[in-house]
Amino acid sequence: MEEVDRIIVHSLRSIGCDIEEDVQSLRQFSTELIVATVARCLKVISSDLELPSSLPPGMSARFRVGASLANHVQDLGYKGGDLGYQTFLYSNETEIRKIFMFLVEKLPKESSQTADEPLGASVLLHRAICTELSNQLSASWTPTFMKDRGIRSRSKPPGWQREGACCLQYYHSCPTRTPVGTANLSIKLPRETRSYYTSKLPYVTNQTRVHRDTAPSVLEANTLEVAVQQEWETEWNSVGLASRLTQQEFKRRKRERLLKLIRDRLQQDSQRQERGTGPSALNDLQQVMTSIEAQGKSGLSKTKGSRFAHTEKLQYAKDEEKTMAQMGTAAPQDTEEEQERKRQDEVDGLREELHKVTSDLEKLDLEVRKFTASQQQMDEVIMTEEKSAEEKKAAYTVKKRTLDLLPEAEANIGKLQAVVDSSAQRLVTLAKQWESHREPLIQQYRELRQLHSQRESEAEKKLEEIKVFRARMKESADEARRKEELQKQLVSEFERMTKDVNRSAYTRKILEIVANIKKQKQEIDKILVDTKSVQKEINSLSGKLDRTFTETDELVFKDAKRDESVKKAYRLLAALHENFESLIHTVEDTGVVTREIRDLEEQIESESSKKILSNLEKISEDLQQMKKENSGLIAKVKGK
Amino acid sequence: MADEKWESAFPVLCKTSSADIGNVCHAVAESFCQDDVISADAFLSTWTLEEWWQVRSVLTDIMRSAVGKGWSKEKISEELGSLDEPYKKVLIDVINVHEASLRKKLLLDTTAVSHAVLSDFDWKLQLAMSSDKLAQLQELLVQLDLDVREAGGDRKRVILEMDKSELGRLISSLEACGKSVQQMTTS
Repeated sequence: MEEVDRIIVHSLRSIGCDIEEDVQSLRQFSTELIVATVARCLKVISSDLELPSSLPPGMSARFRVGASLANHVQDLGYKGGDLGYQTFLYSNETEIRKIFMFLVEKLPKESSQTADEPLGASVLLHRAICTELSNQLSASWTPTFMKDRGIRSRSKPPGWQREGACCLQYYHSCPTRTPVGTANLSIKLPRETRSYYTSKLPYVTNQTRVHRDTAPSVLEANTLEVAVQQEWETEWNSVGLASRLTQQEFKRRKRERLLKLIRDRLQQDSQRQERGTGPSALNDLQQVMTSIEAQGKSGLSKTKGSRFAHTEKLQYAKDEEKTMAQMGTAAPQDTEEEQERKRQDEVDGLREELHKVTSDLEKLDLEVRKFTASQQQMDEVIMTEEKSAEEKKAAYTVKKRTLDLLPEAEANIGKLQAVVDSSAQRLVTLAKQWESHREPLIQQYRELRQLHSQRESEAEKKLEEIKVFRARMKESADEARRKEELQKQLVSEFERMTKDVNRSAYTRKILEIVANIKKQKQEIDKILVDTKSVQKEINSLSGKLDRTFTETDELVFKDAKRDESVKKAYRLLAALHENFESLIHTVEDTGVVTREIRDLEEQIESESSKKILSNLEKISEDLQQMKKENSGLIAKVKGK
Repeated sequence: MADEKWESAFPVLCKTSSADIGNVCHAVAESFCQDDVISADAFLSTWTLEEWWQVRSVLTDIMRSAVGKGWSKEKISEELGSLDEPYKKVLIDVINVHEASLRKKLLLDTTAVSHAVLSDFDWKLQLAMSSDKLAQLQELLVQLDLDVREAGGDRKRVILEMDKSELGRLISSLEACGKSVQQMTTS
């Protein structure tokens, strides 16, 4: 029964009835609570009902409320015996339980159905956000000085939230310093480093300029380390392992390669710069130089200087004239004209000179070019001559030898032949030796090569295996992570579930109950069979008794006619039979009576559980109150 | 030239005790590595503000050249010239302790030669639940703040707000950049 009560109480709470925490069974329900919860249930079942949710003080009003509740419950189709105002006002536990069971079954099911649907993570998140937002919206506004750094804590539901934007900050990190190499005790730190770590290094909370940067800085330092490690790992896996070098070697090579690359780049760039911009830069430089030179020279002597300088000079002169005119200190006209003429002459003279100089220069240039061309030609000629001289020298030496040999031709030929033969023989022996050496060497070489290739292939295989293992490792790690996430989600879902009815417990209980019932049924069946067999036995015994009696009766009766003593015996037999019959009757009667007694006892128990006495007291009290009310009303009426 | 400057600063440096100079050097080295400014308050009892500036710049200079040119201990003590021995020793110790981080800082400064360099970033993930038109929007937005240091040393904050597709585009372009860098370093 407790289980049922708990379920009922839980479902009543879930529809919003105000039941205190320590109420666990229906026995603890007071009359007011019963009326309130029944009214609430009826309202939930059919929302258009108009029912008071609490018991009114007046007796007659109470009566009406109870009657209307009974009516509504009966309208819903309750068929559990007679139902009236007394059921609610003067309740007994079993009836109330029946009514509540009926009402809970009738409750609408949508809410429970939606809760049963499996929820995705996004829906959960959305819901969580919505509840959080509604919580925040329902909170009243508080001024900023009441919130420490914008954080406001609340008690129901417990938690905190950040309000306002004044305390937001950037996630800003600065480099932090931590002792390096202290974990490995086998490597000794230098003394000065150790003393720095122990006495000088500030705490990490003091290393940042602003205290709130501490957490970001530490996080950043950690992630940086992790990222570096990961990058190195992937590089080592993808490239490093295949190169079959040690880690230090690999790092060193990479460093060298990078340095070389950078050097090449820089060299290339600088060369290109020289080639591309070199001449123009030179030109610029020359121009600047000439202009400076010209200015300097024009200051000293006006007869020399480039045209550019002169035009510039002219412009300046004009400007000067203008300024002079503006200043009002105008020089005499004739001198100006004179100057103009002079200048013109000068320009003409200079131009001629320039022409002359340039033509000279061109001529000289041409000559230089001619000279260089002829020099090149001469060089080539010398080269060819040298070559031919060398050839001729070689030819000469050969010819000289042959000529030396000519006088004793025969002997020399023989000698030469001998030399040729011996050298040929030596060649042959050498070839043989070479062969004899070569054979084992080649053999060895082949063997080594084979061994090498085998090793190579083995290494390849091992590498492949390592790669496969690594991939599998990663996969399994991923899977583990995924599973963990799933588990987390499921756990959260499970937590949410347990807040509802703990289903599994209930189903287990139900199954147990069903099993119990089955067992009981089996036992009942067994007892029935037993009873039947006993009945049968009784029947057969009584039949046997009857038959024996008639037989005996006949026998004794026959003898009784002849013998007097037997007559007596017959009479005794009849008396015995009668007596036993009456005995059996009495036994049966006793059985019936005991059964009746048991029935009555049960009835008494059930009646006593209905709290009749207390209810009677309550009823009499209520009657008294009603009488009082009535008399009061009558007095009022009379008073009017 | 540097030597003269250093030599002129040594008498000022010797105003403090050789025990305290360690603290000063550590502070200067740390501030140099962190790109941070140390407040002069702690040192104004020994030096005037101007002297402190001189000390700071000379110390930074010494560290920069000692680490940047890869001087050995002997070379450093030779370069320090007329400075007293205990001071020299302290300075050399400090440079030794901080060598790795100083080198890192110098390298960072050297690599950041482009006219604008990303110096810091921050990001935030936001969920737009609804808009003025739609009751249920559920759009994810990411806000990316980029701190850019420009050639003149000015800092500029670039703030980007992107939805999913824009973020994907940004990531793919960044990945392309990374790949080209990788190609350059590995090929």
